[in-house]
Amino acid sequence: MRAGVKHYLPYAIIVAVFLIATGAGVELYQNREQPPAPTGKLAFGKTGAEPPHIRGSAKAPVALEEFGDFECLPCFKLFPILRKLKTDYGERLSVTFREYPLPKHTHALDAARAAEAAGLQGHFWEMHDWLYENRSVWVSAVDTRAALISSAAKLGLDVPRFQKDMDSAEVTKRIAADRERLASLGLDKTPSVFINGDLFTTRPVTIESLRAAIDAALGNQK
Amino acid sequence: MTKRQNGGLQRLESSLYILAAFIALLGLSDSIYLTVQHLTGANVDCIASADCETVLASSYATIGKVPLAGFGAAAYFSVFSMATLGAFGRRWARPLFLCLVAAMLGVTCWLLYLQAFVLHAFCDFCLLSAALTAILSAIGLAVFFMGKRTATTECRNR
Repeated sequence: MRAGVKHYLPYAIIVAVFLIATGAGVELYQNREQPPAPTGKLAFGKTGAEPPHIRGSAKAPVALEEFGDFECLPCFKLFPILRKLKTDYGERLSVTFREYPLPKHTHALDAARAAEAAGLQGHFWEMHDWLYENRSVWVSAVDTRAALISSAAKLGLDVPRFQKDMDSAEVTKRIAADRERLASLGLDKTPSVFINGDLFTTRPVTIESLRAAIDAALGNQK
Repeated sequence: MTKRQNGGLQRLESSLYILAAFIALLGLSDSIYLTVQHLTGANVDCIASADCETVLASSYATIGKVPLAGFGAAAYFSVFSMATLGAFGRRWARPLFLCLVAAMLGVTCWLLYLQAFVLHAFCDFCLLSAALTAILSAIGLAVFFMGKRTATTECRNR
C-alpha cells in the first residue's frame, strides 16, 4: 500500500500544482477583467485643457475621449485600434486625446510636453502618432529630450519655438488641466476611455469590444 | 566510494531536485503573472525599472498571438514536474530535466541579449526569470555531475 502511495505521490503533486496554477491564472485574469470603476455617465468632471485635441468633427455622433500616457503599454496597444476605428467610422466618430502622464513613467511627461508643444504649432496629432509609432526610440534613448527635439525637426516644426514651448507655462497648464479632469472623475489609470461620456469598462480593450460600444452609441441615436 | 557515500550523494541529488522544484514554482508564478497581464492588456507594475513596458510591448514579447511568458509558464511547469519526479527517484526524469533547463538557459541568454543590445531596456520580471533560470542551471549542472559520479561508483561497487 505504502509503495503504491509513493509511486503515485509525485504525479498527484504535479496534478495538484497544475490545477492550482491554472486556477490562480484564471482567478487573476477574472480580477483584471473587472471594471476599474463603476460604469455610468461620468463625463461631468472638470473641463480639461481647452481647446481639446480632437481628431474628427466635434459634432460627430460618437465622441470617444481617451486619457493617455505616451509611455504606457496599454495606451500603446490602443493607439492602432483607435486609428483603425477612426478610419472605419469616419465622420461618425471623433477621438479626443487628453494627457495623463503617469509619474512612474520617467519619460512620459517629456513626451506629453512634446505633444502639447507640437500642438501649439498645430501639429499635435502628427507628434501624437510619431510618439506611439516610435515609442521604443525615445523611451530607450540616452537623451529623451534630444530624441523628441529631433522628431520635431523631422515633422517640420519650428524647432527653437518647440524647445521653448516644451517648458512653457501654457503647456504645463494644459497637461495639469487634463490631469485634473481625469482626477475629478475619480480615475487615475491610463488608458481611460469614455464613449459619449460613458466610461468604457470592458477589459481587455479590443477593437471588437470598442466597435460594439461605438455601434451601441450610434444605435442609441437612431 | 562506499555504498554509504553513494547513498549520501543520492540524498543530496534529491534535495537539489526539491530545491529546483521550488525555484520552478517561483518562475511559474512570475510567468503566469506576465501572461495574465499581457492577455488582459493591463499595466505591468515594475519595481526597479521604468522600461518594463518597452520590453513587454516589443515584437519579441510574443510568438504569433501567444505571449512568450505563456511558453515560460509551460517550461517552468515542465521543470517542476521533472524535478518532482527526480526527487522521488525517477531516474528517467533526469535527462529531461537537464534538457529543459539547458533549453531555458539558451532562451534566457538570447532574451538578455535582446534586452541589453537591441531594446536597450530591461524588465524586472524578465530579469527575475533569468535569475531563476540561472539558479536552475547551476542545479542542473550539479545534478549532471552528481549523476555521472553515481553511475561510476555504481559500476565500481558491483
